[in-house]
Amino acid sequence: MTKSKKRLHWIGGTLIAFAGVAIARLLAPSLPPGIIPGATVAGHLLALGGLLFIAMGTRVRKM
Amino acid sequence: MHTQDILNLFQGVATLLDSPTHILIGRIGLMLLGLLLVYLGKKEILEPLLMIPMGLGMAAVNAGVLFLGKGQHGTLFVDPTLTDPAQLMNVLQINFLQPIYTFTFSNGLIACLVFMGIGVLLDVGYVLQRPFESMFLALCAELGTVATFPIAMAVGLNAGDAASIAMVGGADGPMVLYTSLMLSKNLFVPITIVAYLYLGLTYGGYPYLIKLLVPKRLRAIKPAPPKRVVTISSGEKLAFAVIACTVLCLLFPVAAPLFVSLFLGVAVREAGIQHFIDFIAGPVLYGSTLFLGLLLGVLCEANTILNPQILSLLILGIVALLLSGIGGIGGGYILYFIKKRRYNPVIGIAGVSCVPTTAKVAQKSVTEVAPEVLILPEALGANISGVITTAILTGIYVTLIPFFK
Repeated sequence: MTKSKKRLHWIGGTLIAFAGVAIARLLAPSLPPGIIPGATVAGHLLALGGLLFIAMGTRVRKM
Repeated sequence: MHTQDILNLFQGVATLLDSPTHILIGRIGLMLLGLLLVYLGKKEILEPLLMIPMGLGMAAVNAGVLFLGKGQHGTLFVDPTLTDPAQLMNVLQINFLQPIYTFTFSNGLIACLVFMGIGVLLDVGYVLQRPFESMFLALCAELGTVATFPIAMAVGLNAGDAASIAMVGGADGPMVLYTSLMLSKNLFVPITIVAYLYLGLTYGGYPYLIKLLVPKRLRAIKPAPPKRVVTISSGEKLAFAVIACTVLCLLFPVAAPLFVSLFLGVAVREAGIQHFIDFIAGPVLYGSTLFLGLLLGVLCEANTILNPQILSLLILGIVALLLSGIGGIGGGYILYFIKKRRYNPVIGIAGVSCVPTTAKVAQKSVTEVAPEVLILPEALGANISGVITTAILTGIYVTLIPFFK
């Protein structure tokens, strides 16, 4: 994996993770009650997905 | 001299004879169980680091009961039921283990210290090398942690107790202790004891589960070699630990002490601060393990532990661990089919987060049938991911359960 691609994973993953946190902890509580659970779950998944995206930038490729 | 006077000289015996029948049987049974734990610890059938102090504490506390005035029975070890600050201040000066219990147990500090020690021993590089496989297996191996919760609710436990006993499926002692301290103040002693007893059994029991679920031919599969070996720098690991810790603390502030303890250990290791590494991996980890074992044993006083729910806790604990093991191996099978039969399904059991026991169990089971096959790096990746997913599930339970109440 090239250095620039790796950097993309680090920056992109961090941004995705923090965006997830913002959705779950900041945005979701201010939404209409019906949407809150969905937005919270989506935010949590996005945050964890961001961490996974960072990890993807360092993984070993198999034959 | 009357018999009663002579017995008062030996109050351990006098209180035994003065106890109701069920407490008498309970105390004798727990003394014998304590001695058995010490024996099993010495023989290394169960984890000696925990079982020897726990067994000795259990035997001693049930032997050392005395009259505390007004015919009441008690010990000079610890009183876990105290909440009134004035009473607590008095007892802190009497019970010799009360200071450690009050200042490290009731706030979860001891679980965090053990977790910090675990963090220093973890190499997150194994996870970063195989993030998908590791996280997938770890999630599958949380089957027991998730599925035992509704089962426990159906058995009649409340949400907090059900979540705490379900955490046994994560096979991570500090996590069970933390969850039960937060959610199940009344049952945290029996739940944690059940957890630690069963965690000792993973080393002995899981190999049989592997043999039952994975045929010899599949156990001997050699994982496909990597195209090129990627070395992950300590800087990358440190950055990952910092970002993961911050994100998880933002998501689950209630479990932030656990996350910060784990990732502090990882950060110290990756930053290469040798004095801290030596301190955390030595005195902190072993000191807290010693007192954790001793206090858990001492908390097993018959009056405290004899609870009608103990039998259901024993059954639910084993169900949780069994389901997690099955879930992990199931995940291994899914990867085996996805990777066109070039993946060893035994690796799945390492998703159960008992670090590094389940990874060692996986490698040992494979070595028995194919000594040349090495699955330890893959297994450690799943194992370390298991710690992280169990911490996340702890965060989810500790955050969500109060809404159930």
